[in-house]
Amino acid sequence: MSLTEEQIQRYSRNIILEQVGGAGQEKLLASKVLIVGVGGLGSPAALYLAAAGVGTIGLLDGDQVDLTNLQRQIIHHTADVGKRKVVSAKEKIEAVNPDVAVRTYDVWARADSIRDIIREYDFVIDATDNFPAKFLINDVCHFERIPFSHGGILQFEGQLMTIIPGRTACYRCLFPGPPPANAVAPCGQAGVLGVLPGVIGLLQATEAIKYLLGMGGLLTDSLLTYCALTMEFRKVPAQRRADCPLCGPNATITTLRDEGKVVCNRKGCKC
Amino acid sequence: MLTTKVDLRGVPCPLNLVKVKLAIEKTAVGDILEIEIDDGEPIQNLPVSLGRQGQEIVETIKCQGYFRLKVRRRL
Ligand SMILES: [Zn+2]
Repeated sequence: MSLTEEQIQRYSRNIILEQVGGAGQEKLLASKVLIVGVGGLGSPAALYLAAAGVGTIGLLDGDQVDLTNLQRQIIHHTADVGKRKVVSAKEKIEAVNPDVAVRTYDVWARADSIRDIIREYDFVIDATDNFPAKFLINDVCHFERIPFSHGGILQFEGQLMTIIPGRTACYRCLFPGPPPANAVAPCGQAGVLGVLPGVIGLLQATEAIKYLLGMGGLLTDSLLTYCALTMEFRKVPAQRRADCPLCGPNATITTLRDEGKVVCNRKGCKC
Repeated sequence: MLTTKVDLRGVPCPLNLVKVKLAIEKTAVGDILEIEIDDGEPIQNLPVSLGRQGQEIVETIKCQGYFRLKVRRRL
């Protein structure tokens, strides 16, 4: 593969970077990233990865655009209300960069459907908004050995961590299982500052690009937390736990399963 | 030793640097890349940028309205 004249101009600010160059740009164009959840976190991640020239972007979301999404899910516009989220996002990505091939999966993240999809990608961005989906992505990525970025937000606080399965701490090393169903309010009831997922989603996209290009240091074995109110970033050290139910030597989770109810699959949930 | 030539006359800054960089990537370490660049901004900027990247300017030849640079890829 060699870059076209238009691509040289489009990606010139990437190419000129010593750590990227033409070879790095070609690598990005040959890369595949799956974004699970095309909402607050997935919107900025998808737009910037598309602009950067990630050649194949998968979008997985079974929801449709709701008016309450627009405050933070910037890939969806007012005219998209009622449209399938993956369709709305695909249109924007193609408008930003026709180099990108977009694959859409208009489904919810479930144990029976997601494994065959994740297997096809080089890196996964967990941009979901509920615990069962987060554990499911962690588990599938572990079984398939696909690196991914975990991200989560609530109100004014967000967090993220990059996981290289089998090598670095997994999500279950930090949180063995989901909190009780009534312990956490869904984001529709708790609220979220609209700019917050922009910050976290873009840090996740940054990790994806760094992983794909093999440059810099990844946010592995540490959880980065961000509080928009105090403007504090904290890197909390994490490590693989010997008693992790998934990646430990005495793992109890050996097959894929759905964790409890997929909260945001409820009818009328505006999460 | 191979010498590759790239004509970057008429290519403005900083796109000419992008193209030189791409050409250097295709040049083996130790080989020479010969580039032709315009007078003015390009001849003021490019050698500096290439030097900063650790490449060696072996020769600068002034021609009619443009310059020919011989660059050895160092890294
Ligand atoms: Zn683990």
